[in-house]
Amino acid sequence: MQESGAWDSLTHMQLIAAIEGDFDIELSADEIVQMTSVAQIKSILRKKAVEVQ
Amino acid sequence: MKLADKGAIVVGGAGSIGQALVASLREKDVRVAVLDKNPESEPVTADAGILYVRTDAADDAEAGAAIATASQWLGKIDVLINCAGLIHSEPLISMVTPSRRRHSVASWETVIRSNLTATFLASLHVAEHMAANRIKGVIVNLSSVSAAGNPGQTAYSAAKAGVEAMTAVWARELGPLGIRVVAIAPGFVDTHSTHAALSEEALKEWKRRTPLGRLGTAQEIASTVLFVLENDFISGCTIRVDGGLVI
Repeated sequence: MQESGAWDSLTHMQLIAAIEGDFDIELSADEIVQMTSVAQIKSILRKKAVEVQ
Repeated sequence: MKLADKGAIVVGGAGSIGQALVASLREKDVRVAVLDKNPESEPVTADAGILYVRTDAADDAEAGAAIATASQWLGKIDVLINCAGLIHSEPLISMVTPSRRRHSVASWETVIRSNLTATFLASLHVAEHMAANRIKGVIVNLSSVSAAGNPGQTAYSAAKAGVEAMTAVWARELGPLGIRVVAIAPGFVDTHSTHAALSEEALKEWKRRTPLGRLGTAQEIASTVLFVLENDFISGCTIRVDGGLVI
């Protein structure tokens, strides 16, 4: 995600807010910072017992 | 936000508006840390649910240390109110006082530092604390009707316009974290600093130009801050509390 020129802190936080809202979870600051790729997002969501493909 | 047992920092809490704010917050059972350059007490004291920390909020290291002290005492910071400031009147170019013809650069820097830099630094440290601890807090910045451009107040108007711009930026940046940021722009308020900055004649003229015909009170500003804190859907705006005055 960070390799995309369109990605920035604001976009990242909008994604985080959408994930928290859709899955009804709250992510810690550390988890938010670690979510730098789709794979890492899936990994963190699985740890929070969220079903992802 | 339900205010009972929340922790709040009031930067500039020893001033007239600050004192009214602190009293209003205490009435709602909010624990309050006052950060101010000029409290009469020792560098750090605690009294009746209020912590006083003497600090120059416009200095990054001092602001960071003071907010860390406040954070430790409060447990967590739910609310930051930035009301430190300095009203200053000086024309860009004076055509009547030859000895002081140009706006002083020193006074420009002092006013920007007190009103804009202090707000930036306190918000920076507190936003970092709120984000790291996932606190859905509120930052309230005191602006002024002068932000619209008050003749004779170049530095003060610029600083307050900057405060309103930062408020809009931070509301967008911090909103996804659940943090709200709001500015309140008082008109002319009956405080020591207003009387120190403006002559009685000038104040009489401002009262005449204010549709409600009087100065505001510190309590009216404090009650607006409480309204903002308690309403969870207000963010990114500037609320004017000015008796209808248009600059």
